[in-house]
Amino acid sequence: MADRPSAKPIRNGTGPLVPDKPAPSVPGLYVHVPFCKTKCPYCDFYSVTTLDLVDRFVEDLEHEMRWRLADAWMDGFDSLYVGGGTPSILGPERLQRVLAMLSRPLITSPRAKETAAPQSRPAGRTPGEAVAEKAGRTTKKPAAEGASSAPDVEVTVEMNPADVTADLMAVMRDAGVTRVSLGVQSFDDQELRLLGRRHDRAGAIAAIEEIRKAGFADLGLDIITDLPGSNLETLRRSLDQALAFRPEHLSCYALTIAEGTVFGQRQQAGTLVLPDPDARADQYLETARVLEEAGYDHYEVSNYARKPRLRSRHNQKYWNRTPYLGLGPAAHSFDGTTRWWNLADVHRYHERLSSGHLPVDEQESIDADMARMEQLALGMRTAAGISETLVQRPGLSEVAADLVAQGLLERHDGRLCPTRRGFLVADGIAALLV
Amino acid sequence: MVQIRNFSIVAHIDHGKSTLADRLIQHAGLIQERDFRNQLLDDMDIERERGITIKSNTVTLPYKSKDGMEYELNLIDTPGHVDFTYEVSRALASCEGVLLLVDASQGVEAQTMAHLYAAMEHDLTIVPVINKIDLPSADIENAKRQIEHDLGLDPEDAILCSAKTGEGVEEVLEAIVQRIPDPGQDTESPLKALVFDAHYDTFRGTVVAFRLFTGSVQKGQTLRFMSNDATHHIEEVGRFRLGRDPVKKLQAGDVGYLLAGIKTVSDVHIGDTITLDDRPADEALPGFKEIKPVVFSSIYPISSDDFPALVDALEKYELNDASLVYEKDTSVALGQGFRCGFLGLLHLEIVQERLEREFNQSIIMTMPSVRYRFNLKDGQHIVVDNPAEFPDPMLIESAEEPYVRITIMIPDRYMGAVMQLCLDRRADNSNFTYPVPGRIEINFDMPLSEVIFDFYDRLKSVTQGYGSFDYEIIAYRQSDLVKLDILVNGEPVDALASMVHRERARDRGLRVCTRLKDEIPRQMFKIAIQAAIGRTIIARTTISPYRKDVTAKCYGGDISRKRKLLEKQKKGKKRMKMVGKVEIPQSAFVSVLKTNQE
Repeated sequence: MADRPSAKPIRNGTGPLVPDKPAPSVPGLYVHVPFCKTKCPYCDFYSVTTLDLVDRFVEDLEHEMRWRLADAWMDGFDSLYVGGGTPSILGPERLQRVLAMLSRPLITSPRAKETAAPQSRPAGRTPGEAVAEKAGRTTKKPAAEGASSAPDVEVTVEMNPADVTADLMAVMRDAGVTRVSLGVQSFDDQELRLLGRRHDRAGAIAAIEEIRKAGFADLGLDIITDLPGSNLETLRRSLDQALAFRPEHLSCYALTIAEGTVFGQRQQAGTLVLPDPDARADQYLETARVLEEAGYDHYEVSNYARKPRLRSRHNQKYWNRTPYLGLGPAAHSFDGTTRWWNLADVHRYHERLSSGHLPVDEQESIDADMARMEQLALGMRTAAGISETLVQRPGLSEVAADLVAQGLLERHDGRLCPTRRGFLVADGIAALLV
Repeated sequence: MVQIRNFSIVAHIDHGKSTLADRLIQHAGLIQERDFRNQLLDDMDIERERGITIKSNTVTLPYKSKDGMEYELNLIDTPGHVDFTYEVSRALASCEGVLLLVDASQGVEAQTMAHLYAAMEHDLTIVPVINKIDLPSADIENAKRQIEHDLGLDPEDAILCSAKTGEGVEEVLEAIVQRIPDPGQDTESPLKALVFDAHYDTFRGTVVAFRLFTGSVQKGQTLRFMSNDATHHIEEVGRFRLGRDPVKKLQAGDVGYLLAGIKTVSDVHIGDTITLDDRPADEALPGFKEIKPVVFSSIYPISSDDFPALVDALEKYELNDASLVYEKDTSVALGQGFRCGFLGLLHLEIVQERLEREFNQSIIMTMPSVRYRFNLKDGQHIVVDNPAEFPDPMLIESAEEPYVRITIMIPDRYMGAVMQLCLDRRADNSNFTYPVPGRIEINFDMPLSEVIFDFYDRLKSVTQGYGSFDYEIIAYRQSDLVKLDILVNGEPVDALASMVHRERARDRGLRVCTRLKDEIPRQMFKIAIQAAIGRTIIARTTISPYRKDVTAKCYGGDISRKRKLLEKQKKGKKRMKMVGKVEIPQSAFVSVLKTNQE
């Protein structure tokens, strides 16, 4: 890929830049399950391997949720995301219990929808509006979203391929899970060993088949690129294998070495060497090219949906600053004006709750300047980009115009949207426009 | 009757000057053990860090000798760099003797020689002291041999001591009172006192450090500076202990300070003679020179919003540094700033560091320059020290640059390397003498512009520290001068422009381009760095853009982390200067100035 801007900037994806559905604006609910059977050497999300604490955690989680439910802003969510850690580690019974509990604050669970018509909801304002008013944005009433076939809520559970069983899938199906995010990471046994995963290639394939067999029509696969020893050829092979299953969603994350992880130590010791920066840029561009050619919608730096409507509803809330509530250790929350996060310690999380306190670690209120920075930093990571009004300031409009001329941004309906090459330098663009 | 002795300690760098001073102060009982810290006389952080003395400090030590006599010993500290040669000479002129320190394991070094000569020039009594005798590597016999052969002093006069352990310190004090002459006490003649230092006190104004040769002075009298006939009412006189110790009266032979409500240090001239207004001396003490800046550079705030703060900082700084001169300056790229004159490149670096550290300023300094003369075709003669004022080449009839006569003293084994260094710097008119066997003194005429850059550092490096160096300005000589522009993505950066000899332009241009290439981080665009004379590009480097900087994950809902990264980037930008759309870090400007890192 040449350094110079091509005369014709590369368009993002094949789908529309702005999705055909309005961006999510009803709050989302996230649950962090901080347990893993084994720690992956690259991961710096909070998790522990002391599985004997799982039962206590489930109790605590219920406790925290009940407490939060008492808040005014807990009127309802239209997305639930169970992540971790490894949620699938909970096993059928506990997962069933957790999902049942978490479904209560959802606007309409798919099951509920079969029996109760939307009109039967209490009169007056819709649940989402309370938060929306607080967040200072107008909410589209969920009821008016119309399309009867579309589920009213998106319920995602992250799964480790090694944990996928017919039993578990049936439980999830019955509990109203609409979407499975499967941590495949790679289809190459050697790469999987390097990543310290519990599954191999055959296990990944078996898991995908099991999930499909259970009737899940919305499957997302996670792939890691930029692995040591990888090149464009291994990357294409990996992508081709993923595409063979026609997943509804693909997250292709470039391996990021975090301090304090095993990979971090190995990189410092010089025993772990990533492809050089140019090769990493090439892998990124190649990923985008291959997936877009296969018809996928490149809607965020690392995320692709087979159709714009298959974008992850929940994750988009993080990027467009829709409120969300996070439960569980280390979970982050945002109510439109304040961000807070829970203690990243399963013991202190427990102690706090049992002594009658919320397990919040810290919080910060977001003023106008901070909000603008967030909009810039996040907007540049999404195909929807940022509103041009954000950079209508002395000096900045010229910088923006220059970025457009360089083929890093495109103008669409009053928005500045990153191109594929723009995604590559999204951090730099945000810094230029800050 | 209290006797007086005035002396200074001189030594090659790191031979233990500050340690011995500390030990003498301690011995005199001026300080308790628990208050003791190293380099007592070096107040500034920079002095402690670099192990050098920038501002001299003076202290009066009470001492009772073995034969029961009471003494006041005035230890006059001297700065140790060629930029401050004049200050050193005034400090030495205030003494009757010096302690010449020789490291017992290192022996006589280049600066030991230079100091010896300086002391001899002032007819001072020289007391050789062999220091660091506690070191396992100490070779006292060899040090004595060198004192005899290289310095031409009697080795039996050398006192053995360890400033570190305190061994021999008593003997040093005895030698001071026994060997260094009494300054004489002609208190009847009119007052003649030599100003050898001045510094600023926030509450009391300028503190003048001086040595009385004749007469006496006390509070309430009116002093007169003989260089400009300025008069001031004396508010206080006193001696330097570790702080100021007021006394009723100072008289011939004494060293002390006076306060006279003098607002800035610039009102006091080092080397000036103080007399009394109502009974003035007939003539001033010899050796007064007006200190003239030889190196010029402009200072700009990194962010133009910070200009008022810089004005404030410079005003405060100036109170304490009479050598700094400045006036307002404006640059297209950098906005409002100041054109400043310095004694040399070290002085420039010190000003820069102190403004940053003590006054918390983020500044950019432009390429240093000397003062050039241009004879224009229309008969005008102009003086230019700022590349921004370089005349239109079509209008120049001829140009001249200042030359200096340099004096270098080295062991003869470095002769080849030093010759090469000098000739590379357009030196000519050489002269060699052999003051002592094995040592050579080299004289050259050399353009001052070649000296101010990194000549002294290079000399120290090629002679492994043995090269001593001094220079004096002799004359302006015809020179083929050009203006060297530095362009970043086609835009000239006026802070980096310089005036150079045509033959040196390509070299200098390439060096600046390479340095910038190393210092400017890769950005989203390709950056071309060029050096040009007029429209001719003579050197060029390119910084290729980075292609990817995006972080793969947004860490779930942890948006704060993402935003904080951006905030950090924004903060980092405050230390950057935008040229066009290229961000040039301040460190790039600084590094271009430091041409000595080869």
